[in-house]
Amino acid sequence: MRVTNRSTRAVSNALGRDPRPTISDLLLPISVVLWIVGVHRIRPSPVPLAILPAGSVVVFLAGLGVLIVSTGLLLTRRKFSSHRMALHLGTLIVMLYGTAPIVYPEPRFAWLYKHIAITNYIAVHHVLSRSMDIYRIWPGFFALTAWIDKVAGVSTPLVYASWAELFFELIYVLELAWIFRALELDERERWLALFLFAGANWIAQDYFSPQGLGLVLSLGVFGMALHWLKSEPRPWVFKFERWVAGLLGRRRSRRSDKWMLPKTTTQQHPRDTTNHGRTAVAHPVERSRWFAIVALLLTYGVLTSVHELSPYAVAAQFGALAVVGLVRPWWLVVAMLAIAAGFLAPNFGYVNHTYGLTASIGDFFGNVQGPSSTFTHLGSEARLSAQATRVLSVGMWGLAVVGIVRRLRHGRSAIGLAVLTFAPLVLLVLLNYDNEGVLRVYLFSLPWTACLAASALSPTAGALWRPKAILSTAALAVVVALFLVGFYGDDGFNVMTPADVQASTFVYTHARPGPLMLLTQNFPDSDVPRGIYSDKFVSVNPLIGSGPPGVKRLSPAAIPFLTNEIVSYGGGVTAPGYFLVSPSMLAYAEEFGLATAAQCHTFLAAMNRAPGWSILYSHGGATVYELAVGP
Amino acid sequence: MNKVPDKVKTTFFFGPKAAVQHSSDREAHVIDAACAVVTGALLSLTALGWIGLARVLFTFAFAVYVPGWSVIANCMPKLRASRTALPVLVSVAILTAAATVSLWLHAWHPLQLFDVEGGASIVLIGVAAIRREKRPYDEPHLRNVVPGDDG
Repeated sequence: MRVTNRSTRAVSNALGRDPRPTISDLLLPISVVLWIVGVHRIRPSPVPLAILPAGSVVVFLAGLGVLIVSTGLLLTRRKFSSHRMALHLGTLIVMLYGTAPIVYPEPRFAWLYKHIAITNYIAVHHVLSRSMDIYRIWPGFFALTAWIDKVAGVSTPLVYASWAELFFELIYVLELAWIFRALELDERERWLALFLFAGANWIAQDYFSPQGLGLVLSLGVFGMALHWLKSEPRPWVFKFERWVAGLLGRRRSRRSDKWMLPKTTTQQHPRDTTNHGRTAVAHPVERSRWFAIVALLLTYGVLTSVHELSPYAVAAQFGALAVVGLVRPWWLVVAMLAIAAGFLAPNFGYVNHTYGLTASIGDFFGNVQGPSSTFTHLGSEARLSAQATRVLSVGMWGLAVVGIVRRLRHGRSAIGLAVLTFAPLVLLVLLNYDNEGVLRVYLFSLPWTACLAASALSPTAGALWRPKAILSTAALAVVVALFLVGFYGDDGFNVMTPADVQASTFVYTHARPGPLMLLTQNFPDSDVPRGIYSDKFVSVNPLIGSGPPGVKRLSPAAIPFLTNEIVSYGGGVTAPGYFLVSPSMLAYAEEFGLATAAQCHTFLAAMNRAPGWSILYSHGGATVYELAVGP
Repeated sequence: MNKVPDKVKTTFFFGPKAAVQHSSDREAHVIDAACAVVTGALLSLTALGWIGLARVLFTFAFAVYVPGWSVIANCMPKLRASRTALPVLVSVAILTAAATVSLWLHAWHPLQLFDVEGGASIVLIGVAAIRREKRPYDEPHLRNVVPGDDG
């Protein structure tokens, strides 16, 4: 009997103090098996929406569906099991973010290879170079990855870069699980918020990039602030919330007015505070206050060396919290801005000259345009992907507004989460960020948006088929469905094929120095083996899609223009010149209406017999043309 | 009646002196041991120049946890609620800062830097373990006791 009791207790601890089997214990392994079978069936292909068409991925989607239903069952279960929820959340993240590295042989995104090349440059040359452009100013991520490469004994981050999305997402959720415990959310809301964050983070900033690491540090700053530096709202904020709640028809509620769990002061012993069924022991504040301030500023300083935009987004949100009095001391905002500005100041001239920082100040409606606004034509997949992400973003923000209303009507504070959610919009007044400003706003808003959305959906215990219970499951299903379209919808051109990578490696390894032109910009055009922007090649603007002096219509008539451009850089005169075409370039050209498949075919057929040009390399649809030095 | 509270047991971890250990201390000792194993293994592999998947995995395990744990275990030994997320954050921040500064200072020696970081981590973890042993058993442990929340 003793053994039985002990083993029961062990199982109980493992499953969140409830050893009774649930249907989710069966559904979870089923969903994993379906996902594994589904992933095995998906074949990597540069065909647009390769991962989504019905038929090839029905099993994959079924696995996700079973997991979401299982999650819904757990969310509405009377005896809540946090350990089971954690297992489901981890599985969801692996399914959403671990599929691409399994399916695709090479990392997605052309610009990722630039990051790999910079890392390799540091590993080879041990210094930063002016040729690194803006990355030279914010080298934190590259220094870390170069250090990892050396300690891990790998020659290039290509070995592990594909897994960065999964790696970063797991860390984000780990941090958010810690952060959300400081907020006034009940347990079901907290877990639903984590699921919504994982399911709605379509931005894809989590690839092998400085912004991926930047979000880890940014969330850390918020975690420290919300756990250790929280404070009561200013009196006017309290009155304002009461007034708005009155307008919204506040209901009597037993819930607290606090937006975060209560704090303790200087007591030596923790103070237990009962919060309607949940007992929370808050964290020490005064004793570790200075430690917290120093730790926060040090983390912020590291963040400043990693990414150019993240420190300002964090400062904007932190400043908004300080204004309403929810985080103190207020001067921390000044200190943060001083660190960020002090870091930027010596390089402001270069950054402003290169990227026109001041040009976009005040142009809110111009800055709010997303990346797709730069294209006059969007293919069906790109259009679908853009629409899905728009619906997902607006939907999440809409749910956040409903969450604010719902919280206020139930006598719960909403001001803290509201300012965190909407403060990043300030960035759109200040900068365009190469038409990605609105994406960053969504990203920095998302953790708090997810909390408010969870409050809006307010999962409760009860049968899954009850309208209130089914709402959160249905919402999660819709979020994940939109995520799949948004996150993978552009893979027709975002996926770099082995042919792309091999052609790039061939050029930078074997070709003699000379000017180099691409058909379109969608190519891993970085000297991955030896580091970025070595002076071996002069990079000429792509032939189509990157503005003047490119051609507007791809046809054999563009070949003389191409030759003249290469010659103007000395190609074919003092050094050989090169022109590259690859599968991802062709997919990009078709998707954005730069050229049809027929135009590409005709043009390439003409290139094969163009005078002066010869084929230096051809494999898997990637071709390197060489303009040899003439007589 | 001087009853030993739940989750408390007697142990002889550092020498013959009896010490009373909280359950969270037991967890901390397990983490200490795991960190020491990871760091020791990685130091050995780098010293031997062995290359392979194990070294990559040990590197990531070290990079995302060990330095942070060595700091948190000393600075906030009783805070159980942040035992997972906070060391990850601190580790990443420390290693990024160290690598960046060494790059800025034109002193790029990643393996030597790792030797210092690994050695310092082991020393700090040892110090934290000793301090934990010397702490009176009845000193309160600050932990989040929201069901299911143990960091």
